[in-house]
Order: sequence, then C-alpha cells, then structure tokens
Amino acid sequence: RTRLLSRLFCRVLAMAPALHHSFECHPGRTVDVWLYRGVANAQALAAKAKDGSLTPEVALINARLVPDAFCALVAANRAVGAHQRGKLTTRSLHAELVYALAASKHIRESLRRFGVPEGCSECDVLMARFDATDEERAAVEGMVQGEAIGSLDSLAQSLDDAAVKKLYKIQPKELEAGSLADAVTCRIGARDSL
Amino acid sequence: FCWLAFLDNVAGWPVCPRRCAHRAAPPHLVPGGRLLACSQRGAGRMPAPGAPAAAAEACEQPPGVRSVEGASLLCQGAEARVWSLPAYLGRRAIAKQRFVKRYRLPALDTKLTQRRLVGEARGLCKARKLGVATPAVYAVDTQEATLYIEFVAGVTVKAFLQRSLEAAPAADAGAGSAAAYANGAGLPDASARAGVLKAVGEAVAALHDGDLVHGDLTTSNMLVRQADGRIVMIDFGLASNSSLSEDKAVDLYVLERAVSAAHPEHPDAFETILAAYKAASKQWCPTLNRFADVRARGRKRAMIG
Repeated sequence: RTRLLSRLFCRVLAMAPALHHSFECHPGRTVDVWLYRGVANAQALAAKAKDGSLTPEVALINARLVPDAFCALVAANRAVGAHQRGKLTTRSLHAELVYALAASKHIRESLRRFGVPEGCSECDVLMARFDATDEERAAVEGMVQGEAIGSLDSLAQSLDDAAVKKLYKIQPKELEAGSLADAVTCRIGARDSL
Repeated sequence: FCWLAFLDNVAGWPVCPRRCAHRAAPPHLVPGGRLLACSQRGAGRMPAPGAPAAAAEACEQPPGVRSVEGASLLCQGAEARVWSLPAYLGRRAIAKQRFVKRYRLPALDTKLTQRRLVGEARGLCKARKLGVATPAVYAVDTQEATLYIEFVAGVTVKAFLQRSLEAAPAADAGAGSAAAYANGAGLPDASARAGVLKAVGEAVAALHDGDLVHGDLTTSNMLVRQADGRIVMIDFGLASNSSLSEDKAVDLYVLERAVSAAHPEHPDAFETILAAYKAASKQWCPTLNRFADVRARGRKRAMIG
C-alpha cells in the first residue's frame, strides 16, 4: 500500500516531459525529453550514468549545446534506427543518443563533450529516455534536483553559440545559407557520410 | 529502349504491357512461356496509371516511408523515387529512395548506389558550407539507399521561367518579386526573372569557387524558395570535388545546353547567368576560357590520354 501511495504521490507532483515524440519511421518507439535548469546533482547523476547504475537509464545532455528540439530529435532518430538494426556503436541506446549529437566519430570525446560538463555545479541538462513508461517518467523526474522547464523553445536562448560553432566547426559562410540549427541538423543527420 | 518492344516487332512476341522505358534487359520467361513485364522484375519503372500501381508502390516503399501516414510519391526519375512525407520528426520531409537496378551486376550496383547516396549527402552539406542554400539532411539510410531531407516549399526555376512567359508585358510592380510569385501571387515579370537568373549564376559561382562541381546543372534542379525567393540547389547525386577548370567548364556547358533546350523562348537566359557567374566568381578567368573551348568541341573530348 505504501508503494501505491508513493506512486500516486509521484504522479501528482510529476510534470509532463517537455517533449514526447513517437517516431513516425520506427513505429512503437517513443522518446521523452525533459529540460532542467540549475541542476544541483548533475555531477552525481553523470557519475552514476557512467557506471551504468542509473535507473531508469537516461541520456544526460548539456542543454547549452543543443540549438533546437529538432536537432535532439534527429539524433534520437539516428540512435533508434541503429538500435533497431542492432548496430549500436556505444554500449547502450541512451549513450548512443549523446554520441549521435556529435559531429565527430570519436566516441569517448563525443560523450565527454555533449554530456554533462565537468565541474559544473548548476548545469542546464537535457534528459531523454526512450520508450518510457509512467513509472519511469516519474522516477526520472524524481531523481533530478533542478527547475523543470515545460517546453524546449527556450533552448535557443540559452545556447552557447561560440561553443557550438567551435564543436561543429561552423563557419560564418554556412550561416548565410541557413540557420545554426539547420547546420547542426545537417551534421547530425549526415555524419556517417561526411 | 525496351527489349520486348523490339522483339514484338521482330518475332511477334507479346510486348511488355507497361512499356517501361528503362535500358535494354533480357526478357524473362517463366515456365509456361509467359513473358514477365519488365516492371514485375523490380527494375525501375514508370508509375503506371490506375489502382494496381498503388499496391505495387506500397510494397516498393522503403520501411521508413511505409510507416509514415500520408506518404505520397512526388515523382520518379531514372535513379530514384521521391516521396513526400507530411510528418518526419514533426516536419515535412522528402525521402529520396534510390532503387535497385537489376540489369547491373549486384556488387557493382550496390557500390554505385552507395557512392551516389553518400556523395549526395556530402554534396548537400558541402554546398551549404559554401553559402549555397540546400535542403538540410535529416537522415541517410544506407541499408535502404534512402536520403531524408528537408521539404523546401517553392517552384523549380524551370517552372518559374516557363510561367514568366505568361506574364503580361506591362506587369504591375506588385508582382515583381520572385518570392511573391513563388507564393502564388501573380506571374513573374522580367525583373523577377532577371533576379532569379542572377541568383542562379551566383549560386553556381559559389559552388565552383569551393571546388564543388554539381554534375547535373539543369533548371529542374534549382528551386525558388517560397519563403524568401532564394535559389535552393538540389540533386547532388552526381556532384564531385574538383579544382580543374575543365570540370567546371563542363558543368557550365551542361547548364547552357539544359537552359537552351528547356527555355528556347528565353535566348538571353544563359547570358544573364553567365554574367552573374563572372561577377560573383573569383576564378572565372580560367573557367570561362576553358568553357569557350568546351563550347567549341563538346564535352568529354579533352583529348588527353
């Protein structure tokens, strides 16, 4: 009975994820994304995720390096596609999402750059979980100590432009052809071809 | 040229029911002596009108397209089918599926298709880096040889130029801009046409200055974007990296032939493009010199070997 009550309690307090998307091209697979600002226990979560002891498993992403919700979705689509084919490059689906965000094929460096920044005490973190059930959603929301943001529209405002341009090697000429978000989307979507 | 059409004339055999227009392939006989239509053997085919086509199309869709509701075939070329997806990760997208060509050796076919697919994705990204507007690449599916790219709302430059013929000579100033036309507000007038041709020249100059040769420059491979009237280049399947002025000159020659063939009513169209190219390109001198040579002798006659 205590467990039932605590579950109900969690459900009452829990906020909906900022983004819930079911993949059109991979029917039956979904992703939930949460945006948290000023997360105090980000380092602890990151350490647990590295050990593999984070339950439920989530992808932890530095929210200042993601220009758009769509970029995160393109990366998630890549991760799910690789998972469906059984061709994950990293050890888990959620690590694959963080890896997919990067422009480089170096796994350790990409996970380090796009994961939670080291030594940061109040980070902006994007958390993503694939195929989450209600209990898992509540558990994810329970384990973060930070301010939950209801939508991903504010990602562009808190974006670290200089870091993104340096990481993805975006030149000013490219920004004449399209927006920064488009340039990042191209690099995520076509990474294996470049 | 279809084998079966030939055989019908010569041997009195039944002709391919779909009159498909792919390259010559040997006819296939099933036990019982019935000739299979070329399309049934899975080679690239023209979409035949009528209900059976829909069922056949459905099973030839790549799995990514099949699971999206409301996906429709926009057009089919010699190499690929273009599907319109109303919702791909929440946005309108295009899926370009390169189909298998069974008349080729399977190993060669896979290699060529993969090379073209990867080359197209790379070309799209590189053109963007050079400042030329292209559709954003959303995903590259090597297993299904399918490319998912941004849906750009607009008209091809070909359609634009053809429509500009219908514009009244004394068009009012309001219908002047390319963007306005692409939005459906009236017919483009001479100034809009000149603006579009100039933009085409500038885009080609930007590509060539970055050593990217498009390979298939025609007015059907350039779009006038509805939102801002910019030229968006598509179809980089034959694109390559080359700093040779010969390759760039051949690219311009292909464009000249395409423009003069598709738009004989605009005899000055290519001159406008070339003038804009010259103004915008930093390496126009060797390229245009070579272009004069190519014009005189034709392409693929470099006489080096």
